[in-house]
Amino acid sequence: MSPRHRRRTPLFEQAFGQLLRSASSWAELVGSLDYLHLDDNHVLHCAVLGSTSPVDSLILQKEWRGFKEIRRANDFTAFAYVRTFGKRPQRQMSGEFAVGRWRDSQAYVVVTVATPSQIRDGLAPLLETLYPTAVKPFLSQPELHALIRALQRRVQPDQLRIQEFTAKRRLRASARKQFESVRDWTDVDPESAFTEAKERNVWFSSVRFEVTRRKGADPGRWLGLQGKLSKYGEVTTSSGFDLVAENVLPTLTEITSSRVAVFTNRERTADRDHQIHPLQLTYDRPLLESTAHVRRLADVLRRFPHGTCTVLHGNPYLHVTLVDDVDLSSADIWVLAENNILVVPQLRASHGALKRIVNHIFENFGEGAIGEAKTA
Amino acid sequence: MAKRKPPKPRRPRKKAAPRPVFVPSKLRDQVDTYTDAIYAVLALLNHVRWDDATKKTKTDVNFGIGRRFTTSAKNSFSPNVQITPDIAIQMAPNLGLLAEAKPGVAKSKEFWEANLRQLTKYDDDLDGWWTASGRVESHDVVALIPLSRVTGFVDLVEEKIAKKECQFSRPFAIVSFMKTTSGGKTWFVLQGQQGALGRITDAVLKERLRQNIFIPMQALLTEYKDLKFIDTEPPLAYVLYVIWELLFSNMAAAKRQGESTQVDLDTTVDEVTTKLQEAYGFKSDGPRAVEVPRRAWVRRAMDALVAFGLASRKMSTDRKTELYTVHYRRYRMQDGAVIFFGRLENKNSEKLARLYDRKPLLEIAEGAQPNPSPDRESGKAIQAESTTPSEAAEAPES
Repeated sequence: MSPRHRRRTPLFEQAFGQLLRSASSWAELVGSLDYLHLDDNHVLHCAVLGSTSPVDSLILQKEWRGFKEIRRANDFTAFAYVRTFGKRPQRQMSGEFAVGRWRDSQAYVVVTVATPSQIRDGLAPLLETLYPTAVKPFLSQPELHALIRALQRRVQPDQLRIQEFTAKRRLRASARKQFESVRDWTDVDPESAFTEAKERNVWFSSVRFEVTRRKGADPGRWLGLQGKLSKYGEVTTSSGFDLVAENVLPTLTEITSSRVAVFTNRERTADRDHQIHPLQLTYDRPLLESTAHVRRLADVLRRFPHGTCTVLHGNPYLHVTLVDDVDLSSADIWVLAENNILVVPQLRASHGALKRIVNHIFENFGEGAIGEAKTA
Repeated sequence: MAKRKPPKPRRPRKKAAPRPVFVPSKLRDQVDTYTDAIYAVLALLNHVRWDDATKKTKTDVNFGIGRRFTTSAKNSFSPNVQITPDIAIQMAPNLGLLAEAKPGVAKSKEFWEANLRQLTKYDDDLDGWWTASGRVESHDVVALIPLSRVTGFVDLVEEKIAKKECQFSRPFAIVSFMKTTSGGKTWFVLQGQQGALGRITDAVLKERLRQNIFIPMQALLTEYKDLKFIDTEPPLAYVLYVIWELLFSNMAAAKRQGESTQVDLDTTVDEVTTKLQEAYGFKSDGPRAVEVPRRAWVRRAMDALVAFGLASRKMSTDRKTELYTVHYRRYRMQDGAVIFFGRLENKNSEKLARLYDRKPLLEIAEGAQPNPSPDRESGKAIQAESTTPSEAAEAPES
């Protein structure tokens, strides 16, 4: 992403490291991100994590090598890291970031200023290791669309254009592979991009957008801003962090919090008589009406990464046990109706593992609505 | 020069019996059959408890999924012994119902004759109901049979009754069960026989069974908290699957530190049994209530883990308890945990046979015979026409 700096008050510009050490509160830190001086190829990046425990404490518990707490402010903690990876040649990536809790919710925001490779090879893998206690959310296609639409409304009189997207596309039933990953460059307005995606059976993993001037209109405040929004709760922008903070983060953190709430306390040990607390994934169309569809779901579940899938029954209904080999959570998956999937968490079922199971089903089989299971 | 003695001929090595071929589909059938039995029992219970007026299940019906009854001295087959039908329901102070699910995939006549013999034991003035005297005026005896096997079973009962080799003085009914998909949902259906082999005292239940009312499987799953055991011994691989995938994973997660791939779990048969009963079966809540899964099934499973090299065993310092250390780790189970353990069972079949033969008294004390038979007094085993030694051990009494 080529940076384009639009500083509102260049007199006060400072580096991210200085800001981390001087900001007295999370609000001041986030508010000051706009005043930052960004070096070439550096971007403002934030990732949202859902967790029932404070993420800064979880990070400190990990005792990563090359990792230290820079400072602990009232409502955020700043960290510095050096990550060594690869064998030949061995490489190192270092950076700084801050973690803050979003308005007493179960969502935490990680903010950094870094190059894309620092984010990809440094910060992102470190945050991944927080699984299953802190996990990234996943947005459904309509939720991603709503966020883009909110940004589009806010940047008026300018307009938002989708420049690039990464997506998964469902292939026709007879193909050996069921999905293919797609990366495409384009220049369309968001409505057309999302409509076309629906028609082509495509759902976005991330979209890169740019704020451009509308023909005949005056330039707006965020003209030239480039950003990227991913369905895993990550936002990157070249400038104008206030646009993200005001229009993306509230919704993103709300979705993250609601995901944590819906997946928490589902394990059978949550109450004394070991009651089940099943989830129901409901589809607006009969996605599981035939044996072939049910078999396709069974195949998807067998490919659950870092997990074990035991099929107990395959036809006419589906009954599968999935165990997350990383976290050792387990859940039974039942298909007893043509338009819904039941997820029955077992003795251990962390919210992170349940999120990963549901996300796997949504990404590889079909996106549905998450809710409480009905008794009949 | 002394002549060298010719070498002694080697004693011929005992040839081990060839290991039977492992057929995954057969094991899957057995597991499927077992879960069918669970849902057949739950479906019958749901029919009895369902209140059409309120559209809810009644909470004031006494029932026990597995309950100990004592036969009378007059019982022609087994006088004064304990029997445990799959389900006992008391619909009124003077009326009860006992049912036995017979989900066997076996076709042999002997198997069904053994099952019929077992049912006739329930036709008795049994002690163990939820009344002050422990008795009720009358109770029905119900045989739950898969739809695919019901015609053969009906023919057999009719033949035995005609030859006067079997008779029921109490109402006796054959109820068939099946799963079906219709209208976009999966249902469990119970269908009662009509006529002499469909005698149900309770008029409402009789009518519900006559009308083949469909019960959504989702309702059975959520209402009865995803039950994984009834009072019939499941295949060993199924018990191991529940223990390893659902119970030990939870215990290992609590004990694991850092990123270690193996966790040693110190446990006992009692601890595992209790935890399984709490989550997936029943804990005894009275002298007549049974505990499911039984201790003997869990012991067999734990011993199997020792035979597979997945656990080790030692005596406690007071030499009263066997302590197991389970070397828990996640294995690559490409075909799932049931098939993984089924393969291990097949591979170690001789070792397991020797191991189980060594503990007959212990097993009887724990409420099961070393070679599980369909006899109710000692815990039952799902029946199947089989070729493996463990399956052969489950062959019905003839």
